[in-house]
Amino acid sequence: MGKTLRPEHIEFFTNRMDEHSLVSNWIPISNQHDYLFKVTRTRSGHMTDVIVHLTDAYRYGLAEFFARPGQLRAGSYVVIAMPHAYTDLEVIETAQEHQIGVGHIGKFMGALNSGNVWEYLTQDEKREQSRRDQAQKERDGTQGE
Amino acid sequence: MSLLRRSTLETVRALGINVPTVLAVILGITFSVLVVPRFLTPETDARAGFALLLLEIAAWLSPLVIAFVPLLASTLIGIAHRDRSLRAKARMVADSAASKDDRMKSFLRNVVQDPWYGVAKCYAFGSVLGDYPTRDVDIILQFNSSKESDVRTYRDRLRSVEGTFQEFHGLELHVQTFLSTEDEAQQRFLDRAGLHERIT
Repeated sequence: MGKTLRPEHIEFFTNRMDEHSLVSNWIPISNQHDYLFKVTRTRSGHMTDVIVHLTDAYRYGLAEFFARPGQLRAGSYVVIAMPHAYTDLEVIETAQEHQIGVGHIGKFMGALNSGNVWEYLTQDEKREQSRRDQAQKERDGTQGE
Repeated sequence: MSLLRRSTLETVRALGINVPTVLAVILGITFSVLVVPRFLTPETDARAGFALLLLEIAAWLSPLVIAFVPLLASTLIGIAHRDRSLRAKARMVADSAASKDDRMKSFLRNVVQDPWYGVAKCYAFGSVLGDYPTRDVDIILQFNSSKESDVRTYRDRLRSVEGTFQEFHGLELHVQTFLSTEDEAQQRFLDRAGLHERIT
């Protein structure tokens, strides 16, 4: 984690924020070490502001999450800026326990439509969760016999 | 056994426990246990009781007070010394006649071997290993811990390394980190990264 993103990565994110129908405003609040934004949503329902950490990690893992910027609190979001970067379901679920969302920009665009941004999962992530839970049930069933 | 000793040593270092601190604690305990009771005799004037009580409380608290000052001083001196040492290493490596890539690797090797940063393994990967221009240097660090508090501490300490690296080598250091328990994830990452080189 750090500030090694190319300008086009940051521009891509800010352009998406400009396009989102529920985003009324965004401001950069970056510090010396991290790209941070405060995204304000239109006040329909329970749409709170979202602090976004635009991460330059190639793999957003638990080590990155543990060392996340102090500004991230419940309701914040970690946006994985580089298209080829990735994360794991384990990280997403750990972050959810802290009410923080993790995902690429496409996922974040969807998450902005829900009140609790951290709860939003992509179809792939839901399928992976189901597969894992099913496998766990089968393992438990095998051990029980 | 050696692992246990090394871990204990690192813990002691991390707590800032050093010779002045230990001496201060011994001095404080000696004062409270040996000196104060001499004044608390059966003949002690009742009027002096309150003063002696205060003295005794102060005596019991004195190890904390006496220990705090050298602890704080030694911590601040330690941080300043480490920063100077980091810059000295960077300057020494930057002035050497080796190629630019070797200088960068040598600096990283020197730094991440210091237990202060909690690094178990370090790899370089990406464009720095190729023969084409690069704008940053990609490295993978695997910490020797998977505890959240340790990782946060080590990551904070590595910030100064990133700054020093950029100052002396003119390139940004892009750090990808892994927990000590993430061997498989780290291997998958290395497989995806392709060309890589172990630094430590």
